[in-house]
Amino acid sequence: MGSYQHAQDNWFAAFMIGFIALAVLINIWRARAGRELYIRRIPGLDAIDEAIGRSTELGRPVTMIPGLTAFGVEAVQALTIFKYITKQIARFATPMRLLTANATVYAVAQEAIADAYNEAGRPDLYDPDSVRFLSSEQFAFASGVAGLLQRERVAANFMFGIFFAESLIFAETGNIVGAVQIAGTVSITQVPFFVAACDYTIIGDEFYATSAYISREPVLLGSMVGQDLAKIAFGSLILGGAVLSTVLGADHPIIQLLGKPGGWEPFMEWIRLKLGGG
Amino acid sequence: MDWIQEFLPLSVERINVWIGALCTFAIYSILYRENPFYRFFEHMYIGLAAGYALGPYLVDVIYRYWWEPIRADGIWWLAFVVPFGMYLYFIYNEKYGWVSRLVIGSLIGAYAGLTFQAFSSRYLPQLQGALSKVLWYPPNATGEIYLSTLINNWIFVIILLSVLTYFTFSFEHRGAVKRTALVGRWFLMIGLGTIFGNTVMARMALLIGRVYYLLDSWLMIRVGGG
Repeated sequence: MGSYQHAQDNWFAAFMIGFIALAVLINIWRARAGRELYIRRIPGLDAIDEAIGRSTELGRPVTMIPGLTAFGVEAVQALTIFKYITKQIARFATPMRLLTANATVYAVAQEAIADAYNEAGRPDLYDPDSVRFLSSEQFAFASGVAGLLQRERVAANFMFGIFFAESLIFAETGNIVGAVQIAGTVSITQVPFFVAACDYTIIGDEFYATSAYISREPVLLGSMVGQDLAKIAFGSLILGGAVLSTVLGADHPIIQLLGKPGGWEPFMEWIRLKLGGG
Repeated sequence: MDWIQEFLPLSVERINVWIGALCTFAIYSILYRENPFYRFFEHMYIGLAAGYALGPYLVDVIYRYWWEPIRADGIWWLAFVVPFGMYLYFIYNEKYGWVSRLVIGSLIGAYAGLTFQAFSSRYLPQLQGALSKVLWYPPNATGEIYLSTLINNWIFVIILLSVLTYFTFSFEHRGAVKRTALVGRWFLMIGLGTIFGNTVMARMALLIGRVYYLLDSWLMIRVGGG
């Protein structure tokens, strides 16, 4: 019985992972070397700027919610976007609140937001109390966020990260107080709720592209371009594989070799038969 | 009179039910507007959650996965894990704040490694499943191929490729690519609509459960189920 997780009997897996890693690393290296890597502008970015403008006009706070995101890739990307927003609002001294459900994200968010105010040249505006850990329990966190959104009558609500069933509670409460809401998540089951209740939703991988576009960080830019190459490779393989499966049959050794654990042996057996004239 | 006697919170069981009903009304009261009643229960909920979380952390994490393996199994090197994790608190110290970054760096490193490992088991089976889709009657097919299967496979491959095109970012979407991405976006919206409908049904079930609790357990009005 083969495994998808290890390369020992799945050379195709090892090849694909090697290819993706190489595509990402080479593009990070290109970005670091000063090459201008292109990332198309996501329409949601304009919406972010519009929401910041509106909160500035109204003089009411901006809330940023990374959801239940544990500390990892999504949290870092969300904080990159939140740093951008904070730098924008720092110019007009608009108050902000960052609400988190994870202790590690909370600690890192405090540093990130303090950095953002420093970079904007307004370190005096940073209030440690503006970054708040509410609760690690999902619905206790949701009730805390809902209460704060209502009490402070926020003008703009940004939700970026990983969300679960609490997503609609946030988005609906934001809607009730009339906040402009922009959400971005890779939690595909929560995207429909954001689409229904928010002014703009950044879907799936657009979330990663947004943070790469905003930050122009070589690592993020290189990763996005490398991932695009991987997507093109995946698409070509799927199209080519489907054509080959149609012509040769889905259980042909070549199709077995492409991705199936233990596909190497039947493929080599088939090659031996071919070479042996069998 | 019997009903009132039973309804009032005169026993421990009834007090529990009353507290449950009160909490339900308090939390739902935000649907009207933010109010002191909601605020009190919101803060109580957050406080209770903090206290409740401490229990599992102490019992399931610190005791079961740290203290017991050290004490009972002699895995002595685990003794360094908790102090290392506590380095995170150095974040509050200006001079030694850098120490906390050791923990943060370790967390990111571990997460990256696990993601790499999970990639093979999550996406490669999907890739294998997708590339072995048969689009027409194969000349040497061993089993029977149904027309419905072929139609499904066509729909699958078209949706997959168009949505994949939508999620490319490193080049401008123009001409055929733009049209393919637009098709992908439409398919994506149809898919999201399906998820929305399914989840709303599940949420309605939760609401019905709460209303049932208020009617059956609190007001003692027996509804449904005979």
